[in-house]
Amino acid sequence: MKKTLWLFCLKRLASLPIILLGVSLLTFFLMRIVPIEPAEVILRLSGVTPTTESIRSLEKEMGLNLPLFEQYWLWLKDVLSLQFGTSFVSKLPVAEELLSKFPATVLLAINSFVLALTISVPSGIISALYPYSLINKFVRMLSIISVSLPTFWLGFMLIYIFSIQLNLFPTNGTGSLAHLILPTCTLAIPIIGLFTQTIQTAMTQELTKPYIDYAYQRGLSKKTIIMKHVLKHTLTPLLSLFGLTLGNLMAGAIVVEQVFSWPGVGRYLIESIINRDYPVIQSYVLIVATLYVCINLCTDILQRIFDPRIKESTYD
Amino acid sequence: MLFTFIHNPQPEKGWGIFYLYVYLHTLKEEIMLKKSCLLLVILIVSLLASCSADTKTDANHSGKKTISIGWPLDIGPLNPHTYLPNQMTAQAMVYESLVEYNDDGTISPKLAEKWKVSDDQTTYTFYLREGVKYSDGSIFNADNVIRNFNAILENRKAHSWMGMVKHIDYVKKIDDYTVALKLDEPYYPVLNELAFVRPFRFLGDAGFPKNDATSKGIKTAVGTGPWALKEYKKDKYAIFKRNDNYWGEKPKVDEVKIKIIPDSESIALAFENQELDLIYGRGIVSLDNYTYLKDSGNYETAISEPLSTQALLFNTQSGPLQQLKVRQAIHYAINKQSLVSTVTHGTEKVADTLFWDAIPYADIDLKALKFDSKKAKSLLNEAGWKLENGQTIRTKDGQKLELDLTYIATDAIQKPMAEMIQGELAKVGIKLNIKGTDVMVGLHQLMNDETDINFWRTNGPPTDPHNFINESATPNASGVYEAKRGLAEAKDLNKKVQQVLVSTDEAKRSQLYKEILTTMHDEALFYPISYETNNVIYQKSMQKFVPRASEYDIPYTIMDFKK
Amino acid sequence: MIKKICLLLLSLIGIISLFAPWIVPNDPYLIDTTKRFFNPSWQYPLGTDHLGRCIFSRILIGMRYSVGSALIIQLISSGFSLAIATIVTFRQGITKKIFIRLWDILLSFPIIILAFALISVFGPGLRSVIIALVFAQTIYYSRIFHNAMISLSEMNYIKAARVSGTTGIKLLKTHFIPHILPTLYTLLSLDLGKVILEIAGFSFIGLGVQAPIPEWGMMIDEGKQYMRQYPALIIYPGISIFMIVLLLHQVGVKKHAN
Repeated sequence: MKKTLWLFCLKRLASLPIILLGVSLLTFFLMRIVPIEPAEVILRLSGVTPTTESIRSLEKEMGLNLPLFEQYWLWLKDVLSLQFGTSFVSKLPVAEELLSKFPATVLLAINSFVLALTISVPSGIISALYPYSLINKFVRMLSIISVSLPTFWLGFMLIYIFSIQLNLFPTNGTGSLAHLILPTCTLAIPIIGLFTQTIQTAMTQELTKPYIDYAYQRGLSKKTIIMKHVLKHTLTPLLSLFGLTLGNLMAGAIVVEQVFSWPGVGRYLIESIINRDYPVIQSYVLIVATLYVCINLCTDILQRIFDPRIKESTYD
Repeated sequence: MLFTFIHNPQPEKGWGIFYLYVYLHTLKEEIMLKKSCLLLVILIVSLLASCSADTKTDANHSGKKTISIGWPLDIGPLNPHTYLPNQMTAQAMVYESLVEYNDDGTISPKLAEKWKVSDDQTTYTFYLREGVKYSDGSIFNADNVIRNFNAILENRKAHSWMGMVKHIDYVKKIDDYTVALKLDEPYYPVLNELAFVRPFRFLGDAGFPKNDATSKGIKTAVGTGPWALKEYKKDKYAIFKRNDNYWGEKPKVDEVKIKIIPDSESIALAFENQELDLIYGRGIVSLDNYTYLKDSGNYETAISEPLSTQALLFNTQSGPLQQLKVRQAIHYAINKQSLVSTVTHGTEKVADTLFWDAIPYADIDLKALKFDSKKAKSLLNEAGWKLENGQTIRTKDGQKLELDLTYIATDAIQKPMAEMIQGELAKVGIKLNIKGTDVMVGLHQLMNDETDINFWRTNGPPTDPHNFINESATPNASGVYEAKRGLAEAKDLNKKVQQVLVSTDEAKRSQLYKEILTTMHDEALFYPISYETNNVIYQKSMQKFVPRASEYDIPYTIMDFKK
Repeated sequence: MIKKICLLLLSLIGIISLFAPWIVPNDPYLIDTTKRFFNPSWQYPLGTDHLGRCIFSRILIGMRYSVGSALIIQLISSGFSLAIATIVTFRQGITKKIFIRLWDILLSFPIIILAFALISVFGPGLRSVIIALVFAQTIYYSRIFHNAMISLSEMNYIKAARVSGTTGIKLLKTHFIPHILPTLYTLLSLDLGKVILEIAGFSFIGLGVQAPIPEWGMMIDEGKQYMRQYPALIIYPGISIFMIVLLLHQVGVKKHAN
């Protein structure tokens, strides 16, 4: 099994370049549908009068007057030699800008994700096991509340209660574990709601299956049944949901980053889009695409480990 | 103990151990072995991630007096000769200009002790202040001034918004402390423009990069100003320390820490939590928060004199707006007092004229058009826009009186104003469609005459009013040139503008200004709304001070803490 | 029992949204600055907002926009994604390979860029937002369903069914769909709230619903600057979103958990 797993890994990773190509092409052309050229934007940002001549000359300088495919080809060549260009706005290397912001986002993403899993898995299981109990109802109510809450509201509420009133944490910024807790909770809470509910539903489903009865009659203890079989069958199909959620988190939680002044990549992307900062957007898309592919790869591998019944033939 | 544990400044270790603790605890509660392995993997990965993340805590400045202020944007590279992403308020702390613009419109000496203007008003001779040192100890003299000017003028195109740039012939050293600036023709606002925060401010010799190409970047931020950059973490904070080589009145506090907090609500919260000493600026926190903090009585607040004017700009070439009566009717239809006090919570003053009195040459008598909805309706009738039976929108020759208003969707003031104006105009039978766009699209539409009505604002001192009229006669500059094209006096106005800028006779200049501004006012080209101000909130631990009416000069020098 | 009540409430809400313009107590667009931040009264059941408009009326009208759009988005995208997931799971060969590649590409793509481009082309407004979000949700869901289907297809009872002769559509209908549906429904109903908020998220960058449409997410966005002094502006739309999600969820879950 190990060998096929490795092969699977390699096959997937081999598809990475195609994906990156596709993603970057898509971004490239989509951004150019958007009206208002970067040259004009930059001139305005600098307070310079964007006359037609100055726009044209800046465009020439920036290489934006070449035919689209040629522009893309030039960009591709640069990327292949690991040159990610300079930001139109800040004139700093894009790699530097993005790399300085990504770790913060990743840190927040992973912590929120792990926190969410740690809480939602046991909650989902327990509420499925005791379907008519108070806990079940309580958990369900909480899940729905947490999912319908506006994130910024949640963030500000947490700041207001824990930061200002109780003075336990700082209101924003980074620097210590204390800075990390509130943003993590803000991000994690809606996810906990979603995961708990999905797990509970899936597990309730699973518990109705006939094999549970058979196993019970065969003399396996309740605990073993749940831990060894039910859990596996419940969680495995949900792995892709987990993976996608983690991917979304990594791509940058804009609202939370803003509320907590977290120096991450989400807000930076929005600004870059508004400023038509093409090099930044293109590079961001590459990084996120790679992250997604890796995460999907992981979840698919895990799915195969935990559910060896999934054979190669049906999938690839 | 848990408390100190969490707050300890070496989070990599603390965090890891803390998490391990939680993890082991939950392990006890029946989690599958394989899943635990998964969690362990994630744990390790995030531990590694946290190690690389920035872990420096706020530096502890015990014993030093530090003012903490919140600001939404990073201060930028502190290059005195360039624009974005440099923040003006930071540039003003480190770099100084030859002359200073005072709030009442007068000019005072700064790095130039005195100056002489030639009879034909094309040569300005500046006598530099002697004994001025840069923060690194180097001398400020004519050589350095020339070097700066040359670096700036290398890139004239980037500074073309500033009228005097295209008029500069050369800058020459007369002696070690004297320089002469020669223009090709008279241009009276030279001093105002030299006073502005950029680009004509001075960088120490050590800061110049290769080939003096400051437009591409600088080596270090060395200025003659009262502050020098001590510590800088991009997008997080910047700490400035007092320049002990400063030639002028030295600041009373030791340091200023600018904390970068992008969200305005977060700034307000940080201030409430005593993490900031000061909030200073226009639109830093929402006016609602400002009023809330003010009313709580726990803080000191202050408002500066007016900075700039917020107004609506009418596109006089577009349909119904071609008629003066329609534009005037819009003036009469809106209850401006209510509009301004509602949306700005009473922090801004109602503006009846485009420029307020302290702006040079703007102290003229202009008749205000006060709210009078009956008059609005009769004017519309006179213009031929009648209300048919049962209709709510006026028509003329089968056409509906429908107009577009563009506003910046993310602007917390423009949006409610747009909605209110929509409501007011509906009452007199005008259908106003309001459209929110992002900043860039909005600017584009403004310059290309694509909307009927736009929100607009003046730049404020020290470039008003000369920059305003200059741009009003220049295509693609501020949108005013295009907007006024429908007026009969458009060409005449452009001519007068050219004359004003090169005029040498003060009396004639005032006359021309009066004519230009009066024409614009009488033709209702603008609908002035309110005068914007700097809103200041500070902790009671600081001494009282008066804010300045400047967009970039925050008077840190006079600030101090109570004993 | 509870299920019946929830169904009843939902239909009531449906009817209300249809007839909203006629049953609102006040004009939801009428601005009256002398009436700002009123407390609830008979005239204004939920008080007034920062421009003096009746909050209750705005919520009623907003129901059509927010819930309507979110429902449309969720329904269309789940339809598409189920179809896509089914095709990809069961077809062999080139189509499958292409789809999977395409998926990977599209999934790795930050949807905000797509949304921005779409909105720039079609102009800001609800329609563009709906198109962009349908796109995003479809891609998102189809992968989840696809993987869930894969797991299912290896289940013994499916194999048994296959062996016993049920194939194709019948197989789908009787065995697959019933097992996918609960998860699908949970995702859909819970994400409804998220979608409403995402519609509002576009106004954050200035490209969403145009004022003065009282779309719930937009109301929350406007109200957030008055959060501390007059939280009513956020609370009422927030509760409305919450109630709709709750009702949908109650109806759905009970339906399939037998």
